Amino acid sequence: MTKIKRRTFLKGAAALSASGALLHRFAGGTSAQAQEAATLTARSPLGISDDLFNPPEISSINGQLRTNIYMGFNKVILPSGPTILRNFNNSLPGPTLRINAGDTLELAFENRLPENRPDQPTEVNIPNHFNTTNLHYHGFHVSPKGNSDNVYLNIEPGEKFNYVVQVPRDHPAGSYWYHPHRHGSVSAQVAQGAAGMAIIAGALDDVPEIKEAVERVLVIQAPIPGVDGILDSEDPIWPLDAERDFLVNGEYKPRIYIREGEVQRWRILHAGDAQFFPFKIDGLEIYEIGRDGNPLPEARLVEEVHLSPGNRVDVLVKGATPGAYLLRRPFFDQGKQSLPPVHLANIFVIPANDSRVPPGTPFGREIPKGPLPDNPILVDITDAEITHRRKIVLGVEDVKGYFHDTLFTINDEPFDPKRDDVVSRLGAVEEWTLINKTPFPHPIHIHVNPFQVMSVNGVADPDKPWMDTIAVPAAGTVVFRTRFLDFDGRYVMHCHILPHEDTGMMINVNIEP
Amino acid sequence: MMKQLNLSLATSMVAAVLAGSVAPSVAVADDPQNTPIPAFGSQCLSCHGEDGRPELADVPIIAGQQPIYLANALRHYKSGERTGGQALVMQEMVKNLSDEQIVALSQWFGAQQ
Repeated sequence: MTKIKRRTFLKGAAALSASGALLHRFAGGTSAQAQEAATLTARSPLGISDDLFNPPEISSINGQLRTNIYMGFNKVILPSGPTILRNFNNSLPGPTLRINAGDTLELAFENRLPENRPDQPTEVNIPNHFNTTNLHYHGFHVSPKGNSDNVYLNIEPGEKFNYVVQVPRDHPAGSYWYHPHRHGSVSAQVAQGAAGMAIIAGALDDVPEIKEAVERVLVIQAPIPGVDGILDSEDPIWPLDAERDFLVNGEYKPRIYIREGEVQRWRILHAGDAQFFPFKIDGLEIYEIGRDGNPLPEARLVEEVHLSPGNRVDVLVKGATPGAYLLRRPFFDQGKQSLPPVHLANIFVIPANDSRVPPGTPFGREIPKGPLPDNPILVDITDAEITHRRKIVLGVEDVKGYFHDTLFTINDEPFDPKRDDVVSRLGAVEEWTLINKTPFPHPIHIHVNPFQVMSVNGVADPDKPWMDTIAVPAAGTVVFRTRFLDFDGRYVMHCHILPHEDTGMMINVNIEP
Repeated sequence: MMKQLNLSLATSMVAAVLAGSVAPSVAVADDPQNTPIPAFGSQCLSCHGEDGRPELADVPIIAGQQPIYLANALRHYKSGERTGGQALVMQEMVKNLSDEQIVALSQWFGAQQ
């Protein structure tokens, strides 16, 4: 986990030479002390030294993943220079957690950050207390109460907290993630890279063509450093078009190797804080097989993959003719904001018998044909099941005295931790219409229960995909359906452009027993 | 992003002050093309653009549109006769407008060239 890869760091040269550049830590830290879990250090799935490493990984043993996770300062070198970030376990990104449905996550969490500065805002919707934190299990269908996926906790500097998250036996398999979720410091901490992938095994993993493929985990982040060291202001994060250097697994423009004829399975997480990340690889085939962890009906060849902050996508990438290819975000408009292209990584297709790849390394060659497996509990929600319909209106107001005189709202109200905005009961099945009054898209995420997307801007989605984060288009609408069957308690729905969340775009959902 | 939003509101508010009226007014000036949008319409500009020419690809250009057509469209959004998809966004935008305000906004956008 503390392995330091040695590679030349030279941002400009990397851009020109299309060679990867390492953003290594210059001070190693202690690794997570796994107690009842298996650990893997960061490594290349092909065993090539200058290949992109998968993040370090911690896996459950005998139904339990018991480990230490801590939030602390992590010294890194970003393309913009050396800095200190708030990260998990001195790792950018945090370690991947890999479990099975039915397992229990027992995370001994510790906040190792120093005390907050005394001059903190007291208004709840102004970013504040960047050293206070907690943990959210994004996409997990688990209890929101007590020491489970409870985002109302404030874990102060120096405090420890034991999370026990019981994952149901019928939990959908897929790619999920974890990150801090303390209102007021979410954007600052996630924007600095405090996030990691969480994998629940099954479903797609058992498809023969996917099972025999090399698996990569790609965590996309754009860490924002403080102006003069440690980030203590929201200002560098706030502008949507703030210059950002996108990293994959903490590396700037890394190399990713694929053998000629090989099909690799990539689990991709967009753990950035604000900018969307549509991407393509000119010259290589990309097949989408899952969104937000849930399988698509079948593997689909796509020109471009669309990710908003918080989304995950599972893809198969096929190595064609040997050569170099770019993984890039094209120029695009995020609502009214034009955003520049990003050169994220360099893909190298190498000969199938490249001697650097150890014998016995998996070598997938086929794209699965026919239907992909379902997650059994994610059954289509029919019209007849709906017990209630709601309208959720996303807005923004200029209000003096708030951060940049701005309040983001849902149903015309900024977040109030004391107010229950949605009250429902166990057993309810609801259809929500999200209406975006602003000229920018908002990726809306609801905790605990995934939803089935019915339509976007009034156009029905024939796949009716199950997701947990959906971009509501600028001046547009989304209709989704969701079931409140298993977990009572209070949790939140919010915009995953996290500066919007911290400045008001969040509501409380209270599911009564 | 915020800069643009704030600018839209600030521009309309300052213009309203210069025009001698901060309170919402339904009066339309003699030369609407060179008159700022009434304050109650400032929210229109964030999507439809300062001059009725939007920066969003799926938002209609309403600069120079026939005022009667615009007024009828706004009334139909308000009454719920135009519904579904992005019409739901317009329903939210016009729900608190009076008919006089609808007419004033329609004339203002219709006068933009």
